[in-house]
Amino acid sequence: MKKVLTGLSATALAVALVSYPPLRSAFAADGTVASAGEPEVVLSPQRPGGSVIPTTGHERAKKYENDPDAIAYGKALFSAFNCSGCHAGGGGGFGPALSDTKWIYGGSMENIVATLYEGRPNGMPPWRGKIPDEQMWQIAAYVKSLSKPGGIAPPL
Amino acid sequence: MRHLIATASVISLFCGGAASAQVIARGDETAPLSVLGAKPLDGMKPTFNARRESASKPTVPSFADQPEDGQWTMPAKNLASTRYSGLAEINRDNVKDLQVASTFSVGTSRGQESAPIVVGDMLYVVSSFPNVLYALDLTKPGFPMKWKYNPAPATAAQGVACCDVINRGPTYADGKIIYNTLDNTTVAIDARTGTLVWQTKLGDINKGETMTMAPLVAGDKVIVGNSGGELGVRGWSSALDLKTGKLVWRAYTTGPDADVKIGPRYKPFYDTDKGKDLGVTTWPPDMWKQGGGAVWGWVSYDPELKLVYYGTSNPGPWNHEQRPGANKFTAGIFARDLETGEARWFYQYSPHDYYDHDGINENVLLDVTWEGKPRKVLVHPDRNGLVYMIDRTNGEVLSAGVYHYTNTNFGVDLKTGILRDNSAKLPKVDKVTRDICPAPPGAKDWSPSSFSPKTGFLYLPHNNLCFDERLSEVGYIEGTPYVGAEVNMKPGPGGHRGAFTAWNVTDGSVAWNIPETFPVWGGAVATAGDVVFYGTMDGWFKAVDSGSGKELWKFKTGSGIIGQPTTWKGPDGHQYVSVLDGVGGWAGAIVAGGLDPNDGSAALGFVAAMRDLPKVTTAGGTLYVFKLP
Repeated sequence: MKKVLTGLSATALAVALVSYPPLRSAFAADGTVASAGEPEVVLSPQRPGGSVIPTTGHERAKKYENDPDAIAYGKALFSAFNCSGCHAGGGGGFGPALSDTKWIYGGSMENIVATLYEGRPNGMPPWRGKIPDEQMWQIAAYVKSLSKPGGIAPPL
Repeated sequence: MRHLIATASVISLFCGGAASAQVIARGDETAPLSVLGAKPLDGMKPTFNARRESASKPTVPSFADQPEDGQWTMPAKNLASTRYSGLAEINRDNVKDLQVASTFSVGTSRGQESAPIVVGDMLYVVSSFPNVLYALDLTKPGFPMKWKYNPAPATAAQGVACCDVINRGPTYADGKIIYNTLDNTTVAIDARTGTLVWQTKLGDINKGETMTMAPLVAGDKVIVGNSGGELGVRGWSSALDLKTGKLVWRAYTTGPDADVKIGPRYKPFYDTDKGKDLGVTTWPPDMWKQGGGAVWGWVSYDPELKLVYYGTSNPGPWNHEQRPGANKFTAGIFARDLETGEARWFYQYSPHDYYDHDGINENVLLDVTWEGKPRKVLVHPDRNGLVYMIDRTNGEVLSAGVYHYTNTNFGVDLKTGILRDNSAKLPKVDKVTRDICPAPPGAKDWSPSSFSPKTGFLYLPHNNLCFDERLSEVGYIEGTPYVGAEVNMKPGPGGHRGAFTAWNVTDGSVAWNIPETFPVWGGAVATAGDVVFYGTMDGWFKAVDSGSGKELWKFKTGSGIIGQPTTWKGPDGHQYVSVLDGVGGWAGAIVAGGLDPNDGSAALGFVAAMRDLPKVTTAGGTLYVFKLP
């Protein structure tokens, strides 16, 4: 079952990457991604005066989070862009674990997408201009899924 | 530009560009053999090259066999890398009384692999990232800090360090403490004042390069190399001028002969290492450019032959199906001319490496009588489970004996020099190969051994790990991992994960063996007092009898140990022993990096074998100094 899913995802992804219009059109001449509505970067909900800053609820977050197709695409992309090289199957390695409950830079879909776009100072590379916006959200959906029950793939 | 490369790689990946690669196996092919304990087929024996004739007890070359001055000025103690001290105040009878003389926190809590070195009345030690150098005053009670130097390496360097942000220590020469920073800078610090004398930038973290090895000073040059075999770096070694830090030469591991510094003086012993531009032709087109062969391990130097010896790392990616060919000059050893960097010979331990079996482990330079004749040799315990004895003048393998269980090879064909692989244990794309021994860190990883001329034994801190593996296609994206393998490590035969073994160099046999719960990931030191020191990942610093292996003393440190012990004479005339605790490194990444034990594939599959480590130790970073009452 797992194998079939992977195979499907890979095939679908290949099609997506080769024929995916945004792959070419999304890259502006300067290498930036033309994207409507980039995520807010809010790492702490704490704020002077005590009011609350929303860190979730972005329209796209709602669309992608928990969407099995987005998670499946995200999983294939997570491997294709070598995210798995650093974060393994979610448990981490060069980089921190993504499958636990600790989020250094925030664990909302918006936070994860922001991390993907901009990178983080301790070594997370910025993927702005290298991964189209939709695929950022798919990867985030997969990353989000890792800390949920059954999120980690079974051992070999 | 970078996004274009990345995109192209991903597209070719899914369009099958690299998927059609064929395996070209190396060496002898054998019929498939089954599972653990596979026996060679008829005609396949003499595998393990048992020594037919006992060599004499090895001696340490005169250049490294100087009267003991009580100092420890380089991690490996001397140019021959024996890590042996002639001090004998602490001995097998009184070591049981050893007690703490002083402690010092290095202020970081990632893995501490550095050796505390002692020059005159000062002790120097380097922390894990950000690689702070501390100088402690041994003339004052408690050995207080005299100064520290913070090189302030780039924070982002941490993101391209494959296996924890460790440092393997400083070295001393010409009034300077010299070491490498994670962001690829070699720095030389005035040993008295702590001020920077020179610094030389040698690599680029954006290409996945880091530097973690301890430099070796040979003559008027500093020999260094890069790390990053898991990120598709192009491996190199470099010589810097000791006075100025200026780059004198650089020799690459892969690429055209000119880059590898192969010329008319290159005379390898075996035919397989002869030919033009092998660093290009033994690879699929252009793959040598990201082929690994990093130089992150130990360097030895023979000042009489004027030859520098060091090993090269695994080829990239781990997925060997993507790189048909012998992948020169990875997973082997170079002998290079100190002055020019020219290669004089090369030998490849693992042609077309299948298992991440880097050739970077230490080379201990010894003199032996072999079949009645004196030979200058080097002794090298490799990841593949064999201890090689190689003629260091010409690269001839005299013997390659088994020091630890392996089912990946049947030893070395001494006629051709080729490792005889077990085809039943080859990893494959999209198919799981099970119970491969040893695992990627090998039967022994970087953890440096010690040789005692009194016993003729080489004391090996090492691993007992096997693994399951499934390969997958991986695209090269500069500055990211380039592995292509899913790995699940597990304990080897017997269920323990480490061992401390005395290898009798004289007759090529195991003298004694101490099983350890966890991989023994730090170094060893043998002394004229007939004791050997080493530490364990669960935080025991031990002294054992150099002759029998009997445990004589142990002390519980705050964190697990992966550091290199040293021993030296203090200004008070008495012998001390020092070691850093601070668990981490690849083996201890689960603790140092707070990895998720539920994902066995974490830390390149090491976490699967180390899930219980967080239950017995936590991160740390403290120098312990011991003495007799």
